[in-house]
Amino acid sequence: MSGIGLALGLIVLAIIVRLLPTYYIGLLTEALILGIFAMGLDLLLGHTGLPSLGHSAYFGAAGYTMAILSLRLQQSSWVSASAGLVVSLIIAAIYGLLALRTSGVYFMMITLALAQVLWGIAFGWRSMTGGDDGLPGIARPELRALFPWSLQPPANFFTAVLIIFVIVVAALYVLVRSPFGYTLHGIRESEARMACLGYHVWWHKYVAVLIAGGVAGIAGILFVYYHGFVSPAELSLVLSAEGLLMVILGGSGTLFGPALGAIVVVFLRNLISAYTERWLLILGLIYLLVVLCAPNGIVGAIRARLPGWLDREAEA
Amino acid sequence: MDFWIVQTLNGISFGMLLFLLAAGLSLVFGLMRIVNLAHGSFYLLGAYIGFTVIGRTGSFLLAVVVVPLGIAGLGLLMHRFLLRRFQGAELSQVLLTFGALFIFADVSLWYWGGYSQVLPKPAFLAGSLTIGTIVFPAYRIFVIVTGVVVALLSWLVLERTALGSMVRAGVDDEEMVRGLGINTPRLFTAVFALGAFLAALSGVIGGPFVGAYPGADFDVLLLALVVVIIGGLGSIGGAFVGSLLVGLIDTLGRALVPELAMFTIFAPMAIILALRPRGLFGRI
Amino acid sequence: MTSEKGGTMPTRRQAVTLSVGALTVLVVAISGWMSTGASAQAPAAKTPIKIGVLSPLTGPLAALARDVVDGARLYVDEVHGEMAGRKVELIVEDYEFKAAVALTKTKKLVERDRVHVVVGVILSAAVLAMKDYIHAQEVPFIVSGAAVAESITLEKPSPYVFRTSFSASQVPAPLGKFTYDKLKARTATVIAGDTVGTIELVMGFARAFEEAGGKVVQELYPPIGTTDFGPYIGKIRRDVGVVATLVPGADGIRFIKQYEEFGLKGKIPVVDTAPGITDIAVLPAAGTAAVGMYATNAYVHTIKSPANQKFVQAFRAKTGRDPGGPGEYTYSALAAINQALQATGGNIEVKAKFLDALRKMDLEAPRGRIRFDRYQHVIQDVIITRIDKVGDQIVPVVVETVRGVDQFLGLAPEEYVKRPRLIMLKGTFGK
Repeated sequence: MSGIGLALGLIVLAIIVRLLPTYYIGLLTEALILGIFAMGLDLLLGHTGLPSLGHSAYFGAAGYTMAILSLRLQQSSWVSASAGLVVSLIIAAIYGLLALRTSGVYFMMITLALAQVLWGIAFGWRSMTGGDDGLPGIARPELRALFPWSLQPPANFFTAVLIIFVIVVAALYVLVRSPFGYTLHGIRESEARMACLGYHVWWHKYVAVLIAGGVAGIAGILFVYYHGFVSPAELSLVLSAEGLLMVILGGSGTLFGPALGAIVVVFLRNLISAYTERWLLILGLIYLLVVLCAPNGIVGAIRARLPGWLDREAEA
Repeated sequence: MDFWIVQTLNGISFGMLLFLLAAGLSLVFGLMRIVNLAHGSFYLLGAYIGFTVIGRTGSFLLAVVVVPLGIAGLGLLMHRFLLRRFQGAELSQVLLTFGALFIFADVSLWYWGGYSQVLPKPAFLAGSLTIGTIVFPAYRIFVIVTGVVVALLSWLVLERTALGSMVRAGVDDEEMVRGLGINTPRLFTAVFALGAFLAALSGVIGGPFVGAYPGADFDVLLLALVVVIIGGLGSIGGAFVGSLLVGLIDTLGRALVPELAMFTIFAPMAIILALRPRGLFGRI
Repeated sequence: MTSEKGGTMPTRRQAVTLSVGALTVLVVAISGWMSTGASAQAPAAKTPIKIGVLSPLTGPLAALARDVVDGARLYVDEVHGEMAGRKVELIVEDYEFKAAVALTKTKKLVERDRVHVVVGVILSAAVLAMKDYIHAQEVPFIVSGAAVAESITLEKPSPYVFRTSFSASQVPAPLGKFTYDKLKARTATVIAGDTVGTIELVMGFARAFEEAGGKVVQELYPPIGTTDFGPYIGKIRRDVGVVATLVPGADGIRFIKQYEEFGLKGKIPVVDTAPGITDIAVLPAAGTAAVGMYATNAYVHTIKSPANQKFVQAFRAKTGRDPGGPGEYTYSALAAINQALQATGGNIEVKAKFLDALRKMDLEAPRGRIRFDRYQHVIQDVIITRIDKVGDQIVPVVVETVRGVDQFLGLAPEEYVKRPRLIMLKGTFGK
């Protein structure tokens, strides 16, 4: 019954969105894509307690792989997108090995540095990546087998992204409520205790890194299809830090929090800049305010006001 | 032969500039575990304000003395009122510095426009030194000298003063230091202010070299990060060696294999991360 | 604690979260919709003509970016805010010298602000990022701020994309010949910022220089944002006859100053293959280090013609400084739009007719007469200048004017298009 209600709600949402001007459909699409990115990051940050400052690495790696394969090597969308996902998993596998030797702030520094290595490659290897100019002209896939309508119109692409978003949410939901998920929460609370209880802490953290990386990779591929363009910005520190902001703003350790945070950040960024040139300043102030006043994010604030409504689902 | 001498000197001067940029970040991170993403902003503000000061008064010396002190004050305020209460909540601190980065970036944009400025050099340093067949800018020699002087002074302060031993002890074991009755919050604020001082100093000294432009805050932050990762967290000596290494590798790399320009900065960092994540001389 | 574990999904919680999220989204979106609804595409007649001006107002080329905006504003002032009986509205956006941001801002201009035409853009990579989108959206786009890459007009040409600035083959070519004939240089080193526009400019120079008889022996490409040019300057071969540059904006200032510091000024002449260091927005900061350079331009404020003197005076009065190239190119772009609107009776909504009228542009611009060729790029005069110190001002002095240069180097267009694009020549010299 709840599932049907939810499905109906989503269908209504998809229909309403089609009525909006394309500009807002676009913003929503971008917000959902970054929401996927943020939820992946939250798996590490909120659920496992690993503060990654380099999450853009997987996002951009997948995006670039997909772009290079489809542009330079003329591969089909299936091949390029799958390769993109695979590459983001491989990078996560390598980076996980390197970064998990540390924890806390060092983990932050190292993840940041690792992402910068990829950024440096994207920036410097002009012949392959286009350098700072980026790679334009990436066409959206025609996946007639799955989705009989063209993905070119913004509303259709939004629907496709929405579907993927829902799938990711569902998957994360299942994951977070599984024994694996509860172990991650335990690790977040105290690694020492979990180790004493006999859990293989390192493996759990490693798998979390892999999954989070893959989710970020999915987001990266969608992002590049949306814009038709990839550049080193997709591997930047700014993106990683914004991801963290989205998680904190929405509420870390929750399910929808990061997605809500993404929606807020995307809309703020775009709408503020339309009204004032000083949008960067306002954004900075908002970031400060979020950290100072709402450390549990929007979802946390709602919970505080309305006890019993949004019970602490993920924080058993 | 000339080519090698000039390029090596280039590398050393660039390295010394990097040292000035990175020393503050290394200290702040080493002692307080704060990843100060606004570190580059201190550079940028130092460079732009230095530009204005030199423009109004014509005195480079005045800029070198006054501007870093001013930015140190800014750092002091920032730590005391924003960051100190979150000591221990590292992620919150990072995000706060990120917000500060945006704010400083926009303020500099607002006040100085989007113009890129190269600071004017003082007249007596504006020329070139000619030794035999080699012509080398005098200013770069000045940067080398300054870097070495600052390194020596830092070493002196750290090794030979009470403040220095408190800092070193704090890097090694903060709880113990607190247990000994030392006012760690104040110590931290002082070190953060010192970090800002060094960053702004590099802004004025590096200004004629690197310039002040929108985006310099990010570029400088990334360079400082590379040095700190390679040299090791919490060690000034590590920052010195790391910056020399990076300066030389980058310069010689660009000269010999220009296709890999940006990569020559990040490759050493990647190698260190893979083999020795605490850096060459990391104390922690 | 774990009482809910393993049960069915709690309906209320999920529904609430979803509703809150959806509600937020809809409220924001609808409120935005309300504010732009009024300016949806109404039928022609008296709704204002909206022109989007896209310029990198923050970033290394901010100084030139201001020219783009001021050139547009100056023109609108001169026609008293009206073209063909309709009000004109300029909407200015900053793309931060980043191709990705240019794409986002273009989407905003087209979809939210509903502009009828876009002008500006200095970074070639930005135009390349925007091109597919603007073609799909069918919005006329006049590139009026450098953005010289050949592929903008020659590769997959779009009927919506025009250019009133210059192209990489157009402006450097006469300089290549000049450097060989008049400056008597026989070998050259080219150095350019590592992005497609600047690379193509030095390649355009290289091609022309070699066709005149010279030889390019070395290529150097410092990344945009390089602060220390020491390694590159150290590499320049000391036996070379000339150094041909396109290091733009702030990078250019650093380069030319460091060039002097390393003792090369006066020993090896430097030529600017387009307004890089020698653009009037950047030249004052470069200062005496740039004196003695030769440069090639599509526009300089020192052109002695009545039209230009009038333009320069008006520009100075409005902004307090002299106009650089992008200022004039954008001014001309707006003039072209006006000319086209006069022909269509103010109708910009019927795109086919407007585009047709735009293609027929024939203007007496401040720089001289300009027309579009069949690839919708301007044919114009090219001016070669030398940077001199006049009193205490650093000024570009006109040395030679080459009339009626197109982007095909004098070949028939079909012939020229068959040759490899200039960007493909990167790395092929000096072997």
